[in-house]
Amino acid sequence: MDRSAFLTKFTETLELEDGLMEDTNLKNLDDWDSMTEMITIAFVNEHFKTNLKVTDLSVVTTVGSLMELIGIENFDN
Amino acid sequence: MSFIAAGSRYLVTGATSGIGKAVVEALLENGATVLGIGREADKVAAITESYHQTFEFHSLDLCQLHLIEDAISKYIGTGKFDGFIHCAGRDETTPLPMCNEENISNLFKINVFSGIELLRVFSKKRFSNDGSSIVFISSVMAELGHQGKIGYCATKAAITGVVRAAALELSKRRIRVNAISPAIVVSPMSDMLLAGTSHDEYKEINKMHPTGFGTTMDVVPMILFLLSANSKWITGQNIKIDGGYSIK
Repeated sequence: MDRSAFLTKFTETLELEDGLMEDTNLKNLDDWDSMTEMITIAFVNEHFKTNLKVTDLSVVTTVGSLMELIGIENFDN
Repeated sequence: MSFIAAGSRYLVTGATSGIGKAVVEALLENGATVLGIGREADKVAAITESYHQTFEFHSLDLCQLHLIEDAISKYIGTGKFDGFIHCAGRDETTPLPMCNEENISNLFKINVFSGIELLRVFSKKRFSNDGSSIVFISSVMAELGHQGKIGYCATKAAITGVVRAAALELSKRRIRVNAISPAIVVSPMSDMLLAGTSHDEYKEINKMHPTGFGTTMDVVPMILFLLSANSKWITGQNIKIDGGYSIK
């Protein structure tokens, strides 16, 4: 997936007013909680067929680190 | 005491793991004959070898609804069924923002539509004896909500509706239809669910079950009872077996 398309879709899915950047720290988002984690896991599964676990997200800080977890090879540009 | 009459014949879906596999083993140990349906034959290879005269396995993806009747027709030459247990099903986390027609329909296809098709085929006079018993596996989630489980909760609630309506439709032939609703039973499906939880979350989920997580053998005796003549006045019911999960 195109990096910018990923950022746009992920922003829309989490219904954030400010667009996500690769250096946005997800855990600093006001709404970040167990439900957002669940949505993130389902979002990644839907678009990348990768089954993340809640425990996998413990190492995630920025959007970029989530992309690394998904696998940078899955992103264009 | 065995509830199951030796020589009686059963159809079990989801026969390769969890509750389905445990039901197959219990039925065979009680002298019944079983047609198991699932996807991976190698998971029941040991059963096929031990019970080669009374167990037959048919590999079938139950989402292919149009193949179900043919699969059962091929087997029925040797005698009609006395019962059917629908254990096939899938648990999937679908939080609302990720719900779409495709993933929700896929969940309904395996958890509900395949059961209705099996029920339609099974209830034909040429496939089942009068007085047969059918057991569906619903879940405590049919009545209780859980975040992220819209699809799963909806399908499990749908099963209880199917059971009540089918119980009335089939009562003329004294065919009974019931559901059981377990909470978390340790199985490959629950392993997948729990694998991703942190230590604290695991402890929290376990605490929701006052007597702890269940095992397949906490559930199988109730299924055998519902299949047997000992429960011949019970139909259209949904029986919770949940270690106290639903009373908290």
